[in-house]
Amino acid sequence: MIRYIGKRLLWMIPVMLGIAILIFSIMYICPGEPAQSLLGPSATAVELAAKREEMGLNDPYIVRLGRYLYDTFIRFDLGTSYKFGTSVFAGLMERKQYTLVVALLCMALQVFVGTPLGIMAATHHNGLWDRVSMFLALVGVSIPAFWLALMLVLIFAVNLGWLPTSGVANGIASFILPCIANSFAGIASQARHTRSSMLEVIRSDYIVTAKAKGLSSKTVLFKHALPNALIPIITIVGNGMGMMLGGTVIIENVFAIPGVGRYMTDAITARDYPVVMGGVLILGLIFSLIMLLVDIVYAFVDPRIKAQYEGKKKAKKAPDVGTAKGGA
Amino acid sequence: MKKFLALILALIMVLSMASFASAEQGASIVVGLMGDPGNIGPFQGMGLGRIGILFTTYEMLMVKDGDEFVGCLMKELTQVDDLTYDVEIYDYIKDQDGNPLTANDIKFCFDTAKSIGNLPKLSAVDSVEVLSDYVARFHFTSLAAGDLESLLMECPIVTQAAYEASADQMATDPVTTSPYRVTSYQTGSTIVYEYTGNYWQNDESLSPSTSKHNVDKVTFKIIPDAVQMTNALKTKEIDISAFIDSAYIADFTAEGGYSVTAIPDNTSKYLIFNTHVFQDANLRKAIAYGIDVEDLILFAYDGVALHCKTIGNNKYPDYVDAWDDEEYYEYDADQATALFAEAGVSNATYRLIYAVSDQNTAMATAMQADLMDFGINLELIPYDSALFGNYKYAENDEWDLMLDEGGSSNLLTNVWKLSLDRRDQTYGKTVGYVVDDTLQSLLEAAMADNSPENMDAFHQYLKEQCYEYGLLAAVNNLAHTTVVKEAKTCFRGQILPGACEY
Amino acid sequence: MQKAVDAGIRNRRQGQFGQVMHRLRKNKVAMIGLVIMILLIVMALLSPWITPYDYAKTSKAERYALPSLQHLFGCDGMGRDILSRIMYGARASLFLGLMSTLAATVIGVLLGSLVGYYGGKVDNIVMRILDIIQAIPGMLLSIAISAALGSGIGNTILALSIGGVPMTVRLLRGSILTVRKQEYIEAAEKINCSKWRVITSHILPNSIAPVIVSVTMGIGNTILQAASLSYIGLGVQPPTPEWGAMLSEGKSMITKYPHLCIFPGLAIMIVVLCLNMLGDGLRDAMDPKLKN
Repeated sequence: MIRYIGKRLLWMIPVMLGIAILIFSIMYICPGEPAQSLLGPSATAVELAAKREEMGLNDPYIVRLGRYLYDTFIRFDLGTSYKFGTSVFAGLMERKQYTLVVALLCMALQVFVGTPLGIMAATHHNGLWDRVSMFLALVGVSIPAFWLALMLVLIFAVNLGWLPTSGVANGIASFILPCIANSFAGIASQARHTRSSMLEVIRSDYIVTAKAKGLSSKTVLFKHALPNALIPIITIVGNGMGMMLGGTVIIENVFAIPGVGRYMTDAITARDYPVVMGGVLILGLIFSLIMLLVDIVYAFVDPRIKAQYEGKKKAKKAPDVGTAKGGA
Repeated sequence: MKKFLALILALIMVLSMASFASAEQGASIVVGLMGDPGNIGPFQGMGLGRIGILFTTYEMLMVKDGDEFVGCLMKELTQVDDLTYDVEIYDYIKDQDGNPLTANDIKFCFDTAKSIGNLPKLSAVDSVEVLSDYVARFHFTSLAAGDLESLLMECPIVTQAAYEASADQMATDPVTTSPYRVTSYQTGSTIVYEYTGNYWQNDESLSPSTSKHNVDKVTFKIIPDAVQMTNALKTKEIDISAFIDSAYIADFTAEGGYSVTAIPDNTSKYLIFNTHVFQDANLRKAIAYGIDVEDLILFAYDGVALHCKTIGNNKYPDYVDAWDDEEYYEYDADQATALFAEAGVSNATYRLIYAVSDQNTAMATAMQADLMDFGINLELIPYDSALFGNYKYAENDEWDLMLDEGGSSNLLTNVWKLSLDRRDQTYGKTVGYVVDDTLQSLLEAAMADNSPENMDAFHQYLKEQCYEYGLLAAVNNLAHTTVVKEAKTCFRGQILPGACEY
Repeated sequence: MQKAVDAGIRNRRQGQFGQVMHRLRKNKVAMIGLVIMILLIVMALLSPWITPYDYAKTSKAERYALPSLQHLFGCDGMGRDILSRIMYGARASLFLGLMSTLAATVIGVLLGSLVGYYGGKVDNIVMRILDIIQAIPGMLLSIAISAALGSGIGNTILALSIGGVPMTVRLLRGSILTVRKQEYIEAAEKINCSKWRVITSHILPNSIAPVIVSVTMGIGNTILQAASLSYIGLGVQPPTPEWGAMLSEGKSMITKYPHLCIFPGLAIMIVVLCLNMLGDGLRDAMDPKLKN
């Protein structure tokens, strides 16, 4: 397993290089005028052209790519934002706390509300609970986040005055509405996935056997069924976490949260190349690490998967493990 | 599990109560800002966020106070010759760190701003020469009418000592001569300014409205979402905002403790014809007659906007008032039909590009609906702002019609210049690809001397040729609570918190 | 000889497909979903002839008109009939939503079964490439697609579907990893079933469930996303209606005139609901454990 993790960490290097080259090339072919956002809307074409030249944006592709890769991987310098005049790394660090708070709270809501809902629905398959929670889940994924966000603001901030409408000045209170609005879809999809994989497992032979052996339904549920239903749930949580750390633009915009998502989207709109490229690289790194973590967690949840990681030789023996587990 | 949840809920309640209770009292104001200023250093380009905080942060040699240019740091301006002026500054100016401001700093600021290159208008300043401690001589490369004042306003002034002491070129913590100093800047969220208590200009009568300090603490709160801006004002999380969507204005009544003022926007919208496609003046006129600007105003601005009579609004000093009563392609279906027939055009399709926004989309859709009556089909192509900037100045024909906007800090000629001055384009044509020597020479004449005759000559020629068609100027809605007695704004329609009456 | 075997396999395969369809038909909930979906598609196809008003016809007098007998869903800010716009908008929204979901699923399932089944190097390389692609913000990928390949319906579908692929692959890969080493797969391999057959009739039916759930949940998001593509040169240009764009147009009026957002929102919700009902049915029908 250690070898597997080490190998995966080494793989990070080509992945980072790949991300860097891809994002650079995308920014290169994307039309758009970075000089415009620096000079303001009343800049003339001649002034823009001069600024472009000064920014080195007229150099050939290979020169700029070389410069970028050198700065990033040799000097470890992600550059300075055109718009903010501060280093991209510092800019991301300054914003990450807000994004982190939102992401963690949302994931917590998603896991601790969505999973029980899903289990409940699965154990009461086709019953009232199932219908109600699944309908709620469907409503949850279909409601656009901004709509829910503004409605929540209208009720809890404007009419009741319990919470602030926007901003981050009021501590945790500032994050309650954004997190509820943002996690709705996550809760919904978590519940659906949990239900689906629980149903899948509940029907399988060994659960039926376990039940037949007279084990209590609670034991069967939590000791046997849940662990086996976890794989898709882990995938969803890992993917969701990775995505949310990239920031959630809609929520950050509506609630005026200065998070990573708004930083990146604004940078994309203004073609703030250093921010876009630096941000994508850092977020890509985090995402890859989370994906590695997901793969490691897979192995802990299901030993059969662990066996597959450990190469072909050992994998030959793996069926024993599989049989043991499958026949439990 | 239940206990745990209850605990969390209780914790959240306590925390939120505590944070609300700590909201402080005193002479302070919270201003809602729509755009993010980003880098608040002195030598940055202009943007929606920056214009909101500009005069609270910085002072310049001259500023525009109401409709007039007045000295701020500058005590006296003396002309030496056509392109040379001597600027004398007050001899007791100190920045917030106590550094005295001298002519050397003036030279430093203009030189630095020019080399950074984000204020391109400054290329008209050839050099600044230090004559004495408090007199600097400006050499200009060229000066059109109104340029002098706007150039002296273009560059914020700070001391060299403070600028060099700053680790990030003042991007987050500028030290300036303004009465307000940034005490906290949470990027993308809030900027807090506090009155320093020892503003250098002790003679109140000499400080322009931009340098007033009627309130001790100013907080700018960045709220990018239009609906949330109105919500924040409703809950009084902000006291004032110049960005209240017209649809929500009715919610802010006098009984509710609000005042609302309409402020004409500095920029105006106009339609540019690609003259490669619209070679026939009759065709251009036909389109102009076929568009009902009142429809545009209704659909995009709820009926509240200024119907323009030229490229630009009527608030500029060199605007000729007689134009207000002139006929300017007012909607006329018969005329339009006749002109389309004369141009021999029916059932044509044209591409209209515009920068995407709710208002522009509504305007474009209204134009499309209007022109449909004449068998003209507009294909609407909205772009995000970066792409629009890209295609706007494209040398090849990426568009047939363009919905564009522009404004200027001083004169109408500078609005015209934005799209109609061939010298400003890399390919030697106007933005609409016009090569017309008469147009160019009339524009240059008006820019050199903006007398009513020169202005009228250009306006009439442009109107006759109809290379571009002026549409409307938006009206912004400023609303505030009773914290403010009377709101004051700068010429760009932005709130001057220090100048408001409390 | 080989031909005969192939034919036999094909027959059996068709038999399996037939069984799935048969079971699906017996599922009432799934059938309701299917029927509503078909009705929506028919409505979209016929919309040029059956909308009560012209979807582009503006009206000064009826701006923001509330729902009434004349305009069942009311009118938008330009006085256009919202019902007509939703009916006509179904064309773009359903087409783009369904096609890009389908494209993402097909590509995702192909790649996912590949990496899940073969594992090892194939898994590592494909997954690392997906890591790279997933690091790029979707909006940037779309701008790049628009810039490099131009506008057009195909590229719009590409832009919308590309973001959905990695998730599908990851879900499927995860599930396949768990079933990959189960005894019935080993057994199938031992009796010399072709790899294709092992994947399609043994591995996929046992591991596709999470993909079905994720895909049917994702379509609402895809429909919403289409709106943001229209100003980078892809998607549908105004005034042609499209549900996502209708929602974002109504956004700034949401507390004043909620009907601008509610009806397109409901339309999206119905599609998501129907697809989920159908998806649930399909999953149950494919589940070998529920054969009897």
